[in-house]
Amino acid sequence: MRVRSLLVLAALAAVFAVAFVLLRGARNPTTPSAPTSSATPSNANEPAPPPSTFGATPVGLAPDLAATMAKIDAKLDGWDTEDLSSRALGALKKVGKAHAHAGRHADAEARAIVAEEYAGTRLRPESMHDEPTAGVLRVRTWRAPGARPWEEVPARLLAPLGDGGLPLERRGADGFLASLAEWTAAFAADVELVVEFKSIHVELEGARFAMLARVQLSGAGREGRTQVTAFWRTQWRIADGAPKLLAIELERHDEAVSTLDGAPLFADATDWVLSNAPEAKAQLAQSADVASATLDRLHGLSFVGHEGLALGDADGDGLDDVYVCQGGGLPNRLLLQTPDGRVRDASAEAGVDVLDATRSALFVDLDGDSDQDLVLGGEGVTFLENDGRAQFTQRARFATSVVTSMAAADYDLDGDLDLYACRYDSTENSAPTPYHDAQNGVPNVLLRNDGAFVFADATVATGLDVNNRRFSFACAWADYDDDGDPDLAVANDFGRKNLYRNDAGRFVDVAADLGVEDLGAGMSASFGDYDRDGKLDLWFANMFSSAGNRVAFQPRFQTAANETTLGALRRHARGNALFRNDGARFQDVSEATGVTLARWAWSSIFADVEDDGLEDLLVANGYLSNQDPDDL
Amino acid sequence: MSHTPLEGSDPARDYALGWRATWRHVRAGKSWSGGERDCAFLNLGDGRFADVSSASGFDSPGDGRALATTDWDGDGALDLWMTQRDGPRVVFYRNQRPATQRWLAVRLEQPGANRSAIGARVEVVLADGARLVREVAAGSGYLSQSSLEQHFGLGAAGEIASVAVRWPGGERETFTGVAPNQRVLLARGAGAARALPARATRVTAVAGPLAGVKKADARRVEPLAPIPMVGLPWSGFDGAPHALGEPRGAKPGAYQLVTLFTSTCASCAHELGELARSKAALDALGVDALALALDDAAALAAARARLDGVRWPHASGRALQPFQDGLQLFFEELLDRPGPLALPTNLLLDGAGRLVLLHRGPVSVAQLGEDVARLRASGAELPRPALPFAGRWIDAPAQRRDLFALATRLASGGQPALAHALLARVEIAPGAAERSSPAERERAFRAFHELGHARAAAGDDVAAVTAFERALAAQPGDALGALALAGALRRLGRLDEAEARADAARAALPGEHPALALELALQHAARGRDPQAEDAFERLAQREQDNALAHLNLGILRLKRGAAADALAPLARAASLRAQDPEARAQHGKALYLAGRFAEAVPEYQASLAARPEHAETVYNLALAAARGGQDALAAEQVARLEPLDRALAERLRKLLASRPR
Repeated sequence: MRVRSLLVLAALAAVFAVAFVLLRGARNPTTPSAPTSSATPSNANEPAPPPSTFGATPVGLAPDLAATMAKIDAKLDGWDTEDLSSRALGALKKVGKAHAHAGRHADAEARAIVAEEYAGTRLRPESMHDEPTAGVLRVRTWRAPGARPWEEVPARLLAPLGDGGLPLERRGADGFLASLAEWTAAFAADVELVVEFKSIHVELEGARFAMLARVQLSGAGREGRTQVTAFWRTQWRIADGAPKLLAIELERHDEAVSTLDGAPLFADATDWVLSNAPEAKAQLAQSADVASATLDRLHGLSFVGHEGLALGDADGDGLDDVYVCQGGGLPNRLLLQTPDGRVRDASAEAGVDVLDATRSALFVDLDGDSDQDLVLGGEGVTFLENDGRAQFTQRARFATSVVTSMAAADYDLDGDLDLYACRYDSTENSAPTPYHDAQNGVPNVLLRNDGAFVFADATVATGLDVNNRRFSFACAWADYDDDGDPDLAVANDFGRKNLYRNDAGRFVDVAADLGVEDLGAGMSASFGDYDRDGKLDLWFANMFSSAGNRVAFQPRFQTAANETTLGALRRHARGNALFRNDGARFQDVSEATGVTLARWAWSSIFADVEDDGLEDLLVANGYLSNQDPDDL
Repeated sequence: MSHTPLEGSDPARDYALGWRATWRHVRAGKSWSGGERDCAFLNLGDGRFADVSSASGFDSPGDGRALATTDWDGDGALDLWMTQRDGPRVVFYRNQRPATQRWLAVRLEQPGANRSAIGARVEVVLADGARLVREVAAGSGYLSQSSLEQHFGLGAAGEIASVAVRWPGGERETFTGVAPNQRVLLARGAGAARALPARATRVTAVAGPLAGVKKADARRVEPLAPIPMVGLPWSGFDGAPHALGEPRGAKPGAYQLVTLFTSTCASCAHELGELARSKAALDALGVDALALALDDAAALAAARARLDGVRWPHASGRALQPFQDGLQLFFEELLDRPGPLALPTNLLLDGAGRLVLLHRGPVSVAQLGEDVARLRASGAELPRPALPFAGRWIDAPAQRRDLFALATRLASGGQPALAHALLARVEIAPGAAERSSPAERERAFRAFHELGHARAAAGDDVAAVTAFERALAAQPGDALGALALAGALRRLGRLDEAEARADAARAALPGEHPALALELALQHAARGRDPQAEDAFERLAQREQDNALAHLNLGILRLKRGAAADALAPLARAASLRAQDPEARAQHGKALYLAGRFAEAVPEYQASLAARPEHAETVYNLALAAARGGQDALAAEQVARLEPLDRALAERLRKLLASRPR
C-alpha cells in the first residue's frame, strides 16, 4: 500500500532532501502506531487527556522522527530510478575524475563501467558556433539538431540514439576512451581539471536505464582558462544491479575561454584588500560554523549564515566602502576604502561594530544632508545617522524580527526615502506549508519616512498587506511600468512572488496578472534591461534541484497530482526565472535565455562584466557545505 | 496500487517530520547543496546567455549569500563583493578586464532629502543608437546593496550621444557632451555633467584568497545563562540508575565536574589521571568530580580499568545512549550547531545541576580553579561570556534562558521525560505570571498542563495536582485546566477541592460542555451518587454519540445496578468506539454474558486480554463465557493462566468448572 497526498507530493518536489525522506516514508508506511494505552484507568472512569498541545510538535514524536531520519540513509528502496541515478552518476564521476587528473589515466575506470557493445558519439563536435562577444571571454556553442532545452519534459531518453544527431561511431571500450580524449581536447594532457556531473533527467524500463547528465569541465586550456559545459544523453543496461554504459550521445557542448592570458576575469583579491585590517580579516576568515559551535545561541547567531553586505561611500571621500553584516555576538565591520584600494577597519571608531544579529544593511541618505546614513536589518530595523565623517549615531529602531533583505525607495514621491524590509520566519520546528505555496509566514513591512528619523509602518495603509504572509528573502524597487513611481518585486521562498504595482502610493499585487508569480523557491530579486529595449526586465533567482527534476518527471510521481499541481512542483525544481518586460506583460524567457540552472542560487544580479554594454548575470550560490560532503 | 491512507499516517505531519529530519541531518554534519560553484552568465546579445563561470573565475565553491557590484578601484570595470556562509565570510573580486573597453560611471545628485536620487533612471544613448538603461536602486539581489554609482560598459569603441536622466517624480533632463572613460556627477538642473576627479593613486591589487589566519579555539563554551541538565540518566558500574541534577549530598554551592571519556582516548586518560591525583585540590575548590564512560558494553571493562589504573577517587559510571541523545539536545540549546562530541567533554554543573561551563576537550585543575573563581565572583548571573571580537550591543541579549523553549526542544527531540523533569523544576518567581505576556502565559500553561497529564498517566496524581496548579497559576481562568485539576484531586479523594475546581470551570463553560459534564458525572460517581451519575452520563451519551467514556460509564453504572439489558447498547457503542480499550471490551463482554450471549462475549474478553493480559478478573470472566458457550477447552486453559495472577480466583474457577454438568 502506498500513501500519497498532494502534500506529500508537494514536499517531494520541495526541499529535495525532505523529499526523499518523505518519499521513502510514503512508500513504506510504518505500521500504524501501537494503540495508545487507554487513558481509562482500571476503574474505567477517567477522561482522556486533551490532545497534546505542548510545543510545536506533539510530545512523543521521537520514534517517528528517528524512523524518518533513518530513511535518508536507507537505500532508495523502490525508487529504483534514484538508486540507479546515483550509481550511474557515480560511475561517470569516477571515470571523469580519473580522466580529469593530469595524465588522463582513466583506462581502468572506463573499462569497468563500459559495456562491450558501447556505441556513442564523439564527445566534442568537430565544429562549433563562434558567438559574438566583446572578446574578453570567447564562447563557442554546439547543439544537436532538434535538441530541446533541458527544462522541458524530455522525449523518451531510452529511445534509440543516433537519429539526426552525431553518428554513433565510437564503439567498444576503446571508442569510449577515444571520446573521453575528445571531451578534454581543449586542454593539454598534463593539466589538472575540475569536473562536475549532475544527473538531471532519468528513465527506467526493465533492465535499461537512461540519464541526461550535465557535465562541466574547467581548467587551464590550450587557449586560456577554459570551461566546457555539455549535456550528455546516456544509456545503460543493468547487470546484477550495476549499470553498464551502453552509449553517450552528445546533446549540447559549449566552450568558454578567457583570453586574459591565464588570468581570470575576476581575481580573488580578498587577502590583499583586507591586509591592513587584521582583526576583521581574522574574523571574516572563519566560517559561520566556528561561531555557531562556540558562542551561546542566545547571542543570536545561526550557522546558516544569512549575512549580507552594503556598498556605499560612508565617509564621503568619493570611494565606496563596505559594511559587512555578521551574526549575533560577532561585530559587523565597517571597512573604509583607503586611496590604495585596500580597507581600514573603522567599525569601532564609527560606532557601528554592532554585535546584534544583522542580516542586511543599506547605506542611504535618510535626512538629505548628503551623507550616507546606515540602516541595519535583523532582529529589528535600526536607523543610524551619519554625521558626514562616518560617525554614526542610532536615531531610531523599529521593533520587528527575522528581517532579511531591505530596499529603499521614495514610494510616495514626497522627496524622502522609505524602506521595505522582507521577513522570513521558519525554524527546524516550523516548516513553511504547504510546500509549493506557503502562506504561514510573517508579514514584510513598509516603513514610511516621516522626516527627522521618524518611521511609520505603512504596510496596511498602502495595501502591501495583500499576499504578505510568505517567506520573503529579497525585494527590489523599480519603475517597471514607466509611470514615474517605484514598483516593488518580492522574491518568496516556497511559493509565489509578488509584484506590487505602485498606483500613486497604493499597491496592487499584479504578479499573477503580469505572469511573474514564478512558483519556486525564490531567493533574490533584481531589475535590469538585459535586451536593451529600454524597459526593465525582472530577474528572480530560485533554487535549482537536479534531484527535483529527476523525481518530478517520473511517472510514479504523477499518480496522485493533477497536471496543474504537477507543473507547479516541477517548476519548483527548475531554477531561476528571467522575465522580459514587453511593455504590457512579462514573458518568461528563462529557458530560451539559458539561465535557469545556477544551482541553489542566492544573490543574483545584473552586471556588465566585460563592459560591452550588455547586462550579464552573476549568481552567488550553494546552501550548506558541511564536514560530510555526502549531500542530502 | 492503493491510495488508502493508513491509520496514523498524516501527510502534514510527515512533511513536518521530513523537514525536521532534514535539519537534524544538517546539524549532524550533512551537506545540503554544498560545494556549489557560483555562476556567471555572459549575455550574448541575441537573447541568449552562456555559462562562463569557470572561464571568468567567478566560481567559488563556498556557500554564497550576498553579491554586489562597484567599481571599487576606479579602473572602469565592475568589481564584486560577496559574502559566504563558510569561510571566508567575505570575498572581494577584482575585475581584470583589459583596459581597451570603454565605460562611463555616473553619480546623481538632487536637492531634497532623497539626495542620491534613488529611483532615478539613467539612459545612456550611444552613437550607434544603442540605449543603456539603469535605475538607481538602494538594495537588490539578496541581502545586498551595490554601489549607487551607475556603471555603463560602452564596448571597445562606444561613443556617447547623450545621457538622459528621468529624476524621481518624472522630470527629464538630458546631458550632452559626456565623454567616455570617466566618472561624472549629474546634478539635477545643472544641465551639464561635471567630471569627478580621477583616482589619485593607481590601485595595484594582488590576487589571492584569504591566507595566514589562525584558527579560533572553539573548545571552551561559556553559556550566557545556565542550562538545567536535570534528569540526564547515567548508571553506576553496578547498574544503579542515576540522573544529573539529583541531590548529591554535597555542600551548598558545590560544583560538579562531569567528565565524559572513553577507554581508548589518550587525552581522557591524561585528564582523569590529573583529576584523580588532585582530589584534595578539587575538594578545596568545592568541585565534585564524576567520570562517565561512553564506552559500549564490550569496552566497559577497559573503561573501568582506566579508572582503576588512576585510582579514581571520585564518583563514576556509564553514560549510555539515552544520556548521549539527551546531551545532544542540551548542546543544541547552547549552540546552533554543536558539532561532534569531543573527547573528553567536561561539563561544569552548579549545585542545582545547571550547566555553567563547557569544555569540549580536556580541562586542567588549574583551569578549573580559574573557572570556579570567576563563576563564584559573578554572583547570581553567570559572567558574561568573553566574545572573540569586541563590539557593541544595541540590544544586549538577556542572560535568561527560555526554559519552556528548552522543554519543547527536549520533548520534540524525543526526550519527553527530560522535558518533564525540567518543567517539574522550573521555578516561577512570584508575580511572574502578571508580568508575562499572554503568549508566554499560554505557553507556560500548556507546558504545565501537559506535565500534569503525563504525571497522571504515570499514576502520580500528587505530582499531577502540582503541575495542574502551576498551569492554572499561569492562566488562572482556564476552565479546562481547572477541570484537569479537579480530576486529579478527585482521584486523590480530595472531593471537596475537586468540586470547587469543577464549579470554577462551570462558571466559565457552557453547561453542556462535554469535559465539564464528564467531570461532574465522575464526581457524582466518586461520591456514590450513582443515580445522578448515571443520569449525567446518559445525557452526555445522548448528546455525544462518539463520547466513548460517557457510553462506557453509563453502561458500567447500569451493570452495577443490575440493569444488564440496558447496559448492552452503551457498552457495545463504547467497545466499537474504543476497540483497543481493554476496559470497554471487558465491560461489553460482561453485558453480553449477562444477556446470555456467551459466544459473543468470548472474543470481547479475548480482545480485552490482548491489551491487558494479566487482568485476573477478565481471565475468570473469559473462562465463564467460554464454558457456558460450549468452548470447554478454552475455559479449562484459563485456570492455568489465572493461577499465577490470583490463586484464590483460580481455585474458585477450577471448582466451578468441575461442578458444571457435562
